[in-house]
Amino acid sequence: MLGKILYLVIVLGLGTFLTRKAIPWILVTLGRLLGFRMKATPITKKRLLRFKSIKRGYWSFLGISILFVSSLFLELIVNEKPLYIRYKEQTAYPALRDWLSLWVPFNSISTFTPKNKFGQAGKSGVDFPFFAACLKDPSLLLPKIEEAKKKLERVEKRFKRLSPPKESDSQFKKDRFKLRKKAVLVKKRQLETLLEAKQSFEKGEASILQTLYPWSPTSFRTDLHKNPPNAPSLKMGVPLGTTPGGRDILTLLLYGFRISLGFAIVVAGIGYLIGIIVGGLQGYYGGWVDILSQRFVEIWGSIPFLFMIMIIASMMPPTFMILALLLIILRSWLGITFYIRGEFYREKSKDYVQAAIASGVSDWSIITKHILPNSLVPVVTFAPFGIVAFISSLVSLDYLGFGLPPGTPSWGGLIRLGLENLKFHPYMIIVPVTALCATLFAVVMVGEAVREAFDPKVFSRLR
Amino acid sequence: MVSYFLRRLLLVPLTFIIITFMVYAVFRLTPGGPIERAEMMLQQAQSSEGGGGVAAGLGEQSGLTKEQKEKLLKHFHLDRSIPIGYLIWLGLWPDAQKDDSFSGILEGDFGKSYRYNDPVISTITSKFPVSIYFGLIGYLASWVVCIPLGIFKALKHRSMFDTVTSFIVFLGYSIPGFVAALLLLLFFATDNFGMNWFPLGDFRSENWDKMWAAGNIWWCIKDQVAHTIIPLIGYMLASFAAMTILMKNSLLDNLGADYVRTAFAKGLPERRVIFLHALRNSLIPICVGIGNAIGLIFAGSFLIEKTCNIDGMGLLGYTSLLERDYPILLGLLAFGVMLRLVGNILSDIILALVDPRVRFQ
Amino acid sequence: MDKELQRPLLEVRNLRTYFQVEGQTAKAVDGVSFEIRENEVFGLVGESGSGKSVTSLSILRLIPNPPGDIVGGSIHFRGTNLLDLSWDEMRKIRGNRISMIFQEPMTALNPVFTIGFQLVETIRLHTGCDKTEARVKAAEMLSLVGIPDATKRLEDYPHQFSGGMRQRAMIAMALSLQPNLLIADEPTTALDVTIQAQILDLMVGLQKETDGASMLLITHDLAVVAETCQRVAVMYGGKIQEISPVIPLFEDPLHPYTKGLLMSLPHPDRGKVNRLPTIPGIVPSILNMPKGCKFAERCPDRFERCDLEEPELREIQPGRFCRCHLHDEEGV
Ligand SMILES: Nc1ncnc2c1ncn2[C@@H]1O[C@H](COP(=O)(O)OP(=O)(O)OP(=O)(O)O)[C@@H](O)[C@H]1O
Ligand code: SF4
Ligand SMILES: [Mg+2]
Repeated sequence: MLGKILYLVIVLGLGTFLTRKAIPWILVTLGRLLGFRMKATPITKKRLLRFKSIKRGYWSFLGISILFVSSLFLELIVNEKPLYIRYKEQTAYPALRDWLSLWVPFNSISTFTPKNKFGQAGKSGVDFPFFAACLKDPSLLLPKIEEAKKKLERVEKRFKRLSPPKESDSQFKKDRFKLRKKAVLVKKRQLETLLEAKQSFEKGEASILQTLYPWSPTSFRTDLHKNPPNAPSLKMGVPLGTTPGGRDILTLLLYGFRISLGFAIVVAGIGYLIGIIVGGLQGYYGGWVDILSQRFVEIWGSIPFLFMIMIIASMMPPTFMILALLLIILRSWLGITFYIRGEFYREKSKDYVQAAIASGVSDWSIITKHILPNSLVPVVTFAPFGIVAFISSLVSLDYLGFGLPPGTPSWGGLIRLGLENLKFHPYMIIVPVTALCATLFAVVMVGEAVREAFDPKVFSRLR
Repeated sequence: MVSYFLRRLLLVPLTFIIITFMVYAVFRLTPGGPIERAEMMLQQAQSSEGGGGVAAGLGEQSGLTKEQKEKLLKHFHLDRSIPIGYLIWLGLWPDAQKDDSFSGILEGDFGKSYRYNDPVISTITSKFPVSIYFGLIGYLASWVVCIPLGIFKALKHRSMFDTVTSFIVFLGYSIPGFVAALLLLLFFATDNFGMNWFPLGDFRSENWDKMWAAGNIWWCIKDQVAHTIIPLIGYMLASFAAMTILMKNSLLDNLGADYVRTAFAKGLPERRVIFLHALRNSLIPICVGIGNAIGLIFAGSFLIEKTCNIDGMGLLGYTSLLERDYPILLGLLAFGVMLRLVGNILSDIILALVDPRVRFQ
Repeated sequence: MDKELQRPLLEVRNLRTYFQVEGQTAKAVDGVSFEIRENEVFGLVGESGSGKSVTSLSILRLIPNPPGDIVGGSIHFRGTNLLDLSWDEMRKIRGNRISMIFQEPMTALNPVFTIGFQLVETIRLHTGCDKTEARVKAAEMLSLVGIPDATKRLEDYPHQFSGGMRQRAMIAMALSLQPNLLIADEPTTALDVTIQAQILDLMVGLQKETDGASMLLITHDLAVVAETCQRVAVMYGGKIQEISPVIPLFEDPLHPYTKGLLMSLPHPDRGKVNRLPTIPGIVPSILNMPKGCKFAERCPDRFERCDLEEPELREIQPGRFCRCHLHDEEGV
């Protein structure tokens, strides 16, 4: 227990460090490399200070971003696969493999840990929960051993009924003999494995270091000895219950958090980048480009984008990236162009920019050094509300069943399950909806604070 | 100004053509889309008579029956190149087979629904009353709630009341409408919390028409209201937060304007200054929103109508998606686009009506 | 000189109006005192940002809050302190007794109502006459301030008027109220030179007809001051630097700032200037005013003491006040 708490503290501490120090540093360095002046102007500093002084927004921001950054390591925190497993001479790091295979691009890391190498009979992946349970109580293996014994007896009996085939016997008979012989061997080996395992477990030749919450979104809670769905129960070790299919809702929720927020950040990030480029071109060059592209933006904006995505999804079940791409193309770049265009227009006509143009500075460095830094205020103030919108979009699509591929942990999918079980299992809807609303509310609070800090309005009255 | 609006109106068909072309192209080009699969099937059927097994396998994957595919092929004129197929589809290509039961969408013919075998247009319009019922009542209700609330919040800016209602408004903003409807259903339409006061869905009870015919009007009204409240909140929620904040900020902006100072300096009573001079100006952005709301009513209805099982345009869209009823989907899409374009123009017209400064060029 | 013995119409004492800007306090008006007598045109001059408009808005208590607030002082109008009145009592003073022409004509009129509506509304409020009467009066006032085709122009919205026309409409509105005190904040800035004098004459003339008949004229134009005002106050850095009857001020300015203003004025023979003449240097930022004399940085006569302590506004000659250490030392 203490170890788990320590683990959680370390994970969150690491997340905090990454969020507050490492990631900003990486972004600043990256910006410098791209030729941006990454020094906060006094105005920006003042705005940041003001943002920090708005407590609820600042704390929401820290909370959400630390949770999100920590959730990037979710495979190491909430995973059925253990961090470390040892069985005799065999060791493996399955959770780490999972994590690496997710984040190392173009890898071919296998996430498969074969059963037979870890004292379990069969060819599929190791049943880690069972492994852990047996480690605690090797007598759990007894029923399995009994079962294996019985099976062995049965195949032996069947094998003995046959006499070895002669040269003149048909191929069929030869094959049958071979097969039955093989079956005996397999069952024998299985029994041996189990017996060996029991011994090893008793002798302490095996060990396992499980993750904080050793269940995965893909695993079924077979340990509960009750037909799913299971209502939330701390005593049983299912804090948020299971789905009718027997999956653990807590894991679905956590992985869903990462997917939802990650999706929204990708969509907003790339979309705004495109929006900045388009809006910048419109505002900087003006003229026909401007007029035509503005019309285009208006026409494009009148497409009911969710409907369109659903139609496309109904023809071609999308993946995460395709879905993100569709949302970017159809929507997320549009809203910001208008503001960036205006800002570029305004900034360009200012004296210092005109002076820079006159003295022959290149367009690119005028834009990156002078105009862009001053034009980013709308982007910053829009981003949180954009993220709210895109999380909602993804949830809506998943809810209607035209979002991420089936099996992906998603909040929308959970909410749909909730609707289906509205009458008898209220927790199934309360849990994901609470998570969704808490997240969105926190992001809205951030957005409100950012707006207040970056674009403060003093409303005067005569009194 | 008239010429401005004429030009805007000219933009509508242009937009329509661009968007329908896009949709047509998407339908034909999407890898693994229904049409590509249908084309493959067609080829296979032609090349080898025994290839039906493979084609059937493909068909299962795309979720289309053979019948649907044939209709698709006919509907989209897959034997032609994309531009020509598109023109035929519009009804502008002269040599199209006139025996086709389909005369082109420009003549208002979107074809027939696969499921109902009714013309698309009449299928869609049959759902109008329900969607309009909720859209209109929802919008009116949000006016009735949001405008007074926004005004009051502006006048009591930074008071306790303002803070508390702002919290509620932001909470409302962060809950998607259909989620709110779900929660309400959970709390007030099931037995879980002992407050089973509302029906779990549907537009009205099944025997409503019978009761109406029987003259049981009071029961009918009660039934309709009970079925209306929860979905209505879902419909409203999206615009609720936005409109309240818009109203508040707009009024606050105007209260600080120079002309308000002039009005006070003339000695006008505070009430007249606020409720005539400032309010008249601050309602301008709210009125302009009417146009956009028309498009949004359509967009928002999908989720709510599925959640509450209301048989409007949203549910029609949803079931058509499930059944791959493409003519209906195209019809709805075109309709949605038109609504928005018309909504934009309506916004401009309203702006010109309520703001004497605006003169469109 | 018996006019001077009269009780003043408006008496401003130690008025302080501060703005909160970015967490700092901007003392836009800091201890301003002056009085306006009955039947007097009182001029208020000073560089841009010196606090003239804020002073005049403070009199009508029309300071936007936040960021501004009247933090101290008193403003007595015929014996009642305006700062003590309730918002409703204040309403009865506004328009009726004191009315104001604002500096920014472009935004001072409500954009969604016609000029006629706004004029009629004002006239009816104060005279209680019916709509048609009020319309006739409104048209009359408009043509008086030189807007041709006045009856027709009543139907126009403010954006259909030019800047100068809007300012004239504002003047018409203020004059139609027949106030005891008319505050005119740069009323002629948006007007052609040719029409400026005409409008000013009209204002002064109409003002004379009313009871009390005083005017606070804020302007950049020293020639206008010389022609129309009886007494003048010179403002700098939120404080009054000199108050004096107009003739001695022009003949023998006491304050170095006033001297600078007059010196850079072209010779009277060479015609008028439109804007206040320039003095070398710039106005100090309102957020960090010098500790001593506000004018010290630009003053040709500055000496040690000027940076250390701020001079008081003292009566140097009968009826003439000045805020400068030079005169302090002379021990007048
Ligand atoms: N609403 C406001 N918020 C913040 N500061 C203000 C506000 N109104 C006035 N000020 C400050 O008060 C000071 C005095 O302004 P004021 O308008 O009185 O100057 P002025 O003498 O009328 O100048 P001008 O000749 O340009 O009209 C200025 O420095 C200005 O920045
Ligand atoms: S006090 Fe000193 S600095 Fe100020 S005006 Fe007089 S002489 Fe100049
Ligand atoms: Mg001024």
